[in-house]
Amino acid sequence: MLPSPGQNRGDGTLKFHVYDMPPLLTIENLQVHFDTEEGVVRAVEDVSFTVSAGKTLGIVGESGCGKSVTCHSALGLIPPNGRIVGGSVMFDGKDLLEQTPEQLDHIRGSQIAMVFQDPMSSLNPIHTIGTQIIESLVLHRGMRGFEARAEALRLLDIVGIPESVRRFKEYPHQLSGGMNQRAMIALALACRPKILIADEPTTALDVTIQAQILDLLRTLQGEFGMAIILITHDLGVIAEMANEVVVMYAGRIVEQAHVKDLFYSPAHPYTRGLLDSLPRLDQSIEQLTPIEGSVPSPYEVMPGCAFEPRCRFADELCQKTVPLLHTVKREHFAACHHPQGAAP
Amino acid sequence: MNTSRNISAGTGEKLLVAEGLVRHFRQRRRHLFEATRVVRAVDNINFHLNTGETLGLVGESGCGKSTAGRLVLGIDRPTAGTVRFEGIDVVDLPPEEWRAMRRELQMVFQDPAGALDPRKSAIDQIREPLAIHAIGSREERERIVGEICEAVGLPEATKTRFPHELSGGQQQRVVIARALILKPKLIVCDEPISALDVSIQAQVVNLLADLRQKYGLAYLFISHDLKVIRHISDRIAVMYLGEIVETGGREELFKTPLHPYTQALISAVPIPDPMRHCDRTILKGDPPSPIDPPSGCRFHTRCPIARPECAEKKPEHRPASSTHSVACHFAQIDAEKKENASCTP
Repeated sequence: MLPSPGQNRGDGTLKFHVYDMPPLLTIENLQVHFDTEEGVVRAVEDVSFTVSAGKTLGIVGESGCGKSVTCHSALGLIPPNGRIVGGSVMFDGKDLLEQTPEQLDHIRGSQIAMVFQDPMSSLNPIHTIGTQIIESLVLHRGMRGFEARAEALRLLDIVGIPESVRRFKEYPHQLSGGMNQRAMIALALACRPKILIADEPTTALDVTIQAQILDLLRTLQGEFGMAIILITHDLGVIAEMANEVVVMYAGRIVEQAHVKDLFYSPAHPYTRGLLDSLPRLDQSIEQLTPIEGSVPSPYEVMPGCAFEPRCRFADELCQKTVPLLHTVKREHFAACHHPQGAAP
Repeated sequence: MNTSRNISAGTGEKLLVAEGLVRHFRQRRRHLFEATRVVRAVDNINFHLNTGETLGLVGESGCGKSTAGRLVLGIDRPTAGTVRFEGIDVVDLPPEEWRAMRRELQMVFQDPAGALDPRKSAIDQIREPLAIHAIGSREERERIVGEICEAVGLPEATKTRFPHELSGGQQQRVVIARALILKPKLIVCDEPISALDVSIQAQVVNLLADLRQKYGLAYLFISHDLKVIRHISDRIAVMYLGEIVETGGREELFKTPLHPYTQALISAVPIPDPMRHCDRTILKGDPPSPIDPPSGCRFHTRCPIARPECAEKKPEHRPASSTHSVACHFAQIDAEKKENASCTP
């Protein structure tokens, strides 16, 4: 079905097919634009990746790089001023971009579930936690009455909410942030999704609670074998959770690799810059090495590489042509005219 | 630690001393017969800052670290306790004297967009404190403003822009410039980089470090981010539910954390290295509410080494070295040599 691993078709299309298992979700050449008063924002340009069962794909990038928009638009969740200009999102033999809203409603929630950054605003404040989970069970799994209630309680137990019988009857505002995020995960798991998209699931939480939630996600993945797409800006979380990583910058994928390759031999200067700029707990660093400058304005259309103004390796070529994602080494891709070698 | 910082940190005179600091907030009663509930945001904490030194105040949300910062600045009144800045008690200072003292004591907060006046250009806002405190002639003010803008790395072209025309990093530079312009001795930085993008955070951290060296500043650096705290602080105080549970120099605190909470906090931070797998101490449950904090040691409800007496007796701070102290009944101070080697590469 797919060409050989890591084959670059030269037109920016990339087949990234690492695992033996066929991918669950294949996003190809996705392009999303937003029409705003100030002009067209090219939020996602030519993004392709795949996700396989039981694996975690990490998408990392700074705010506005298009990491969330990619996943949201793949599920048809974009604001009215957004347009999907091109590409395909294949799931279960179907192109999600061509599904009707009703068909998408069925897939979302039952096959692909999402967990967002702020659990308080994702949960319905006027329904109890229990009611919300039961609603999903009734809707997607056709359960009723006691059966649904028992299953909902079981789910609360699975995600480690203590005193589940009491919590079941409580409203989101009565629960802490960590508990709400667990409830969100219980809700997402209610329909045994094949893919869980976690968009900054721990960013709003304290570090000790983050550790609990990440641990929970890992355990659940082991049990249910679902694929996780983890969107985050935290490279520490990526290192801990992801099998494979996509780094995005200004709407494009700039690097894609296995987690070890990405951290030990980053090819794109942006990835390298991000890694160098982090203060670390495991090392003492005299002086951080920041990436100079700032992210380009989303309205700016650059003829060349979007990272060029901040890049110390940039030359004339970078100003003029957009670098396409190409193979640096086996199963490691970078969109850079001057990719860095596997230097230590 | 680089040498110049050692020298400035080592002058030894105490710039700021906070003693027995308490701040309780009364909660509104929800109905007539309900007892008034008290949020114990800060409960009897002590710390000091030397000239040119950076003290990192770290803890999770709701632990009282920001309240502690506000008490130091004098923008909130403690329920009990004293804050002495250069020997003067800040708490009961008459307004004029407080204002004069505020020249020495400045602040930088998390959200630069919220801290700036949207209707004033960057340079006007940076200049404003000079006018308020009637410093210098017009020419002198221009000179000082130019000097500060250069020090914080604000490009010429951005000076006349309004806050909404600046990026987050540039906005924070304006805020820092405005705090610096009166040549303060201490800046309280409350989560100064948390709202910034990852690639910009390092720029601002480096800027703060450079400015400290250039102007001999002391920082009270408040953050939830242990990585940044470790990078920038000379000494660190760890807070939990309104109390300081451990203080120490940054090397000793991170190499040999003694309090089980500090240990858990450090082990919870994800390390950007996929080959490093940590034996993580995952704390159970959430931090309890500061309204009715647990008896005895406030951490006993989540503590992995808690014993029955922890619920009864409040632990006092015990010294582990001249700079390191811990408030835990069972912290193994003797086993200090044991490195925090739970992570194996």
